Amino acid sequence: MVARVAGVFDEKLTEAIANSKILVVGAGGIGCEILKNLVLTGFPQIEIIDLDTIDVSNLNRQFLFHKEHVGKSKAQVAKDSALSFNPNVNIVAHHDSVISNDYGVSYFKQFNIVLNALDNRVARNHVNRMCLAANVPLIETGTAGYAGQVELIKKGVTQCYECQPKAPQKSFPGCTIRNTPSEPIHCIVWAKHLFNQLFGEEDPDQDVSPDTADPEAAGDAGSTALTSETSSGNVERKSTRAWAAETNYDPEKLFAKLFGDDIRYLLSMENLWKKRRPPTPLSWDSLPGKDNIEIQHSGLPDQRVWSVYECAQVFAASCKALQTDLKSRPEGDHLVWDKDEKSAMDFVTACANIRSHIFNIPLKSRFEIKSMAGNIIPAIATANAIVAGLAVLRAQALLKGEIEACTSVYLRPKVNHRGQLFVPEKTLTPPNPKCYVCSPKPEVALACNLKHLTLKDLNTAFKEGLNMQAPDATVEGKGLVVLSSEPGETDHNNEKTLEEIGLNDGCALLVDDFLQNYEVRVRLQQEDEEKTWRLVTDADSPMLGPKEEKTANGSSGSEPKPGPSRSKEDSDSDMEIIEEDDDGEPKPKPPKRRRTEMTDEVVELC
Amino acid sequence: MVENNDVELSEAEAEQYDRQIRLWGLESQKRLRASKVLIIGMSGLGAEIAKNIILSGVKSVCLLDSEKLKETDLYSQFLAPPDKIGENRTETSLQRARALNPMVDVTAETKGVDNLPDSYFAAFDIICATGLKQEQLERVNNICRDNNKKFLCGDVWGTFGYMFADLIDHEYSEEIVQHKAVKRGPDDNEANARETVSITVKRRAIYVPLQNALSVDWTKPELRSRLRRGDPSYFVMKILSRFRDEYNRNPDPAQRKTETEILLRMRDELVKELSLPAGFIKDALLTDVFGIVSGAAAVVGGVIAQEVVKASIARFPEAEDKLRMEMNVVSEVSDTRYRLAAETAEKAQLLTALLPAAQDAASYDLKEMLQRYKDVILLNEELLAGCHVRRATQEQTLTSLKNLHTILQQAARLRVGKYSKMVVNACRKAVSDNNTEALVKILQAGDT
Repeated sequence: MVARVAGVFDEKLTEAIANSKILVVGAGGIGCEILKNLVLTGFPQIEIIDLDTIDVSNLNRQFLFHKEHVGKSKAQVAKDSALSFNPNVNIVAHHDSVISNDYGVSYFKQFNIVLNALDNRVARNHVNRMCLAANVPLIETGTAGYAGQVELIKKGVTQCYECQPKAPQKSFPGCTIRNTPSEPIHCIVWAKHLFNQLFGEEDPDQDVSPDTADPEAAGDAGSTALTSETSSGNVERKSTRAWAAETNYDPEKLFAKLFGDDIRYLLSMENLWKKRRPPTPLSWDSLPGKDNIEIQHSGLPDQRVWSVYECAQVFAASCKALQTDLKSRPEGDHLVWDKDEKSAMDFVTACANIRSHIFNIPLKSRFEIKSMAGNIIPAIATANAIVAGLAVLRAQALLKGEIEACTSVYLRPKVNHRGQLFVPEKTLTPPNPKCYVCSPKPEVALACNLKHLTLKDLNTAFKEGLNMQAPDATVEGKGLVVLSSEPGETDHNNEKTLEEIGLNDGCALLVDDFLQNYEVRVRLQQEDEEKTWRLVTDADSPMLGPKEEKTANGSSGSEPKPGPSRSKEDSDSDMEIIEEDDDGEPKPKPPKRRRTEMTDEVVELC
Repeated sequence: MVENNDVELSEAEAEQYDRQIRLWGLESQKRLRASKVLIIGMSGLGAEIAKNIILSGVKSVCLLDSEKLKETDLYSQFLAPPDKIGENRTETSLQRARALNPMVDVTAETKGVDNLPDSYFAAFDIICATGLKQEQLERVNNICRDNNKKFLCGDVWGTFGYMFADLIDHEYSEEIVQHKAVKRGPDDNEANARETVSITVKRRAIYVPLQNALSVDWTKPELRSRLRRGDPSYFVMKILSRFRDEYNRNPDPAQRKTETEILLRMRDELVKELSLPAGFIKDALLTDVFGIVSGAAAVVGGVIAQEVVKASIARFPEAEDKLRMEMNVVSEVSDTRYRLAAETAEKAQLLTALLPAAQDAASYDLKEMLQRYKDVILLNEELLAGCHVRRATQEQTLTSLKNLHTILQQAARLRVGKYSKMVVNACRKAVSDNNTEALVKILQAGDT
């Protein structure tokens, strides 16, 4: 018997708790608190998953962890600590990512309730889909500073995590980052890109050298800049990484190029500086702040804004440390930027501030830069405790069968005009019938330029735009495999454009993620102007109304594509579309039954 | 308390408190580190409050409870190990409480509230009381008022809970987020780009003591109308605290059925007494009030601890700024006075030397005599002007001293009895030492 004292709950709830099995995803701030509440309340079977290890900065709120646990598995330590509150419960800890084949739909199905205590959208999206697929109620939680919220996600009854499109993460135009920064964040982004160029994974989208293709600079950039004396044209043409390696990451040479030559090059793009204050190139030997190095500073070095001279010293030291780290790794390996890695954070602080100084942008302390570069969301014990308490109370109501009472609750930073600190919704929020995740027939349009978008880009669009982990795509009505999650199957087409592989405007793809048990119909929409890709949900575009959908279906059924595109396919010997093998690719996963399940469910619940 | 504000946070503190410093700032964290908190009642709710406050990094936390650990406590009390049933609740909680944050001084007090003198409570900055009877709560609240200490209380019965705060006269700063249209530069083509700016505003809240809150006259017409749309929680809290006062315990889960009947009967009595509308307090509200449900304790404990944090980091920016300014004026003025006095003395001396010299000159060189008398006249004028300046500065000093006096009087008035006197004495010393920062600190913290 687990309910330790009879009479605290009524019989029905006591029994429901005794027979429950709960999954907690995440053993961080909210996860620790949820685990504590569940264990004390007497939930007999709990599993907890977290891939993270304990950091010192967790200790102000993740109270199951102490200083001696730093570096250990969160899930495991949380389990051990929680068992000391009540040794009679059974806790299974997984030091693992929830996004894994090990935690498939059948795994999720064994639980009565899943409680999410996550800190990132990717994992939230994933668990949302798993719970929809397994038809297990999900209690989703989150906090940011003083504020927080708890919501129930139940297939067919409430909206799912992805029913409302979330605001995309803020990004800055490349030319602002590379040519004309005007805010500290521009320099911080540049510094992070520089880190990757020098030590991390090289990404062509993260170039840090002057951008001669800046439309604003058009006209003079090519001619003036290239003939200018100051430009070191040969350096520009080479990859930053290769050049840095040649100089053996000599800090003074790197400094001279990044904060001297490159800035002079930018200055030669005169159009840029007609309405802006031009940058001032720096040289290693005459740095501001060099003369007052004797000053003794009090307080924490992280809180103080360093002089440019100090930044240059930190730049040199961190360059050396990072180079040593890089060299110690096997050939081809690279560093990954981490805000908690001292040298990595020092490097970004120093570079961002030196660049800020050059562009007359206010300098920031390492503490402030860490917030911005690491995208740190402040977190406190109290808000986490409150949200976790609410989540477990909601779980209890759910077990009692009082689903109508499980409305979303918001914890506000301060009481509102009605004197409420907790603001509940009056009713459950129904699902968005056009949600591309939880609606019975999920559908979305992908606006792109078929002439330029490659298959690789398409894969990225499915992963980043549709939050899929391992997408497979087939052409609707034909079963032709365009994109396969099996390694190697479609990789040879990666660099081909969608047009080249025979996809055209209006053509529909069935895209599916096996792990998530999720399938969505994606209609391609030709837009000449679109540089990358963009998802168009029904709300944005009336074209995708039911009537249009019919024609879309029709056109894809009697797709005239086989004409020109098929001939193209035939003529292209490299082109290979894999026919889906219906009768027997041995797959170790359960058959896809999602659609039928969903219809059953809707009938049941209505 | 005072000395702590001067010391910068250590690297270790900055690292451990990083995520909260990013929320409330370094200064607030330093203020928090000066706060001495007393938590009365080590039930599940007390444990939740203690956990949150110890994690936040206050100076010290004292856990006070004379009761023994019971089986029902284990539903929510995670600081006491489950095998310690029958031992004192606070002593058994001490080890785990300390492990939460070794930087906080955590102590235990096993005497009951009734066995401790008023002066015991006055030694803390903030007191959180749980599990007490109404009479005890009012006593502690009144001691807090008399000593200008912040008082909070709360309880959880089953899934029901409440909290009350008496922060007396509470000034605090609040960040308000405003939206403003921005244009980031010539690159910005986004029409009506908006940016959020947060500004800090000063606020003040006047609190009432618990006594007043509990003796509200609900027959008043303006309150009757509030009842109609209102929430019955206040009355549920009243019924449950009456039960505790009457039976000297909380409703017993083991006798769920009979105890519910008692509670419903008490409900009917209260409804009659306050002539509340029939059906206002539904039966269902009094059925889940047994033991302490962990989730509910977490919520109420979280809210109380958050209030403790807010109360600890609140400051009086306006009074502080005024104080600094007046002290500046006073010290500048006295500087001028000293300078003027020195100059006057010098000039007077010169005058006494010049006069006989001029008289001497009359006997041999009239021109020289004229020159010397002119000098004397000039000097005399300068002396006169200096005198005027001295008078003016004297007046200014007087006004500034008066202002200073008012501010300090206000600070003293917040305290009562010997604490008030201590504040005055400490202020006198700070003024005579011309130590503005010490004054500001006395104003913030009293004399401790």
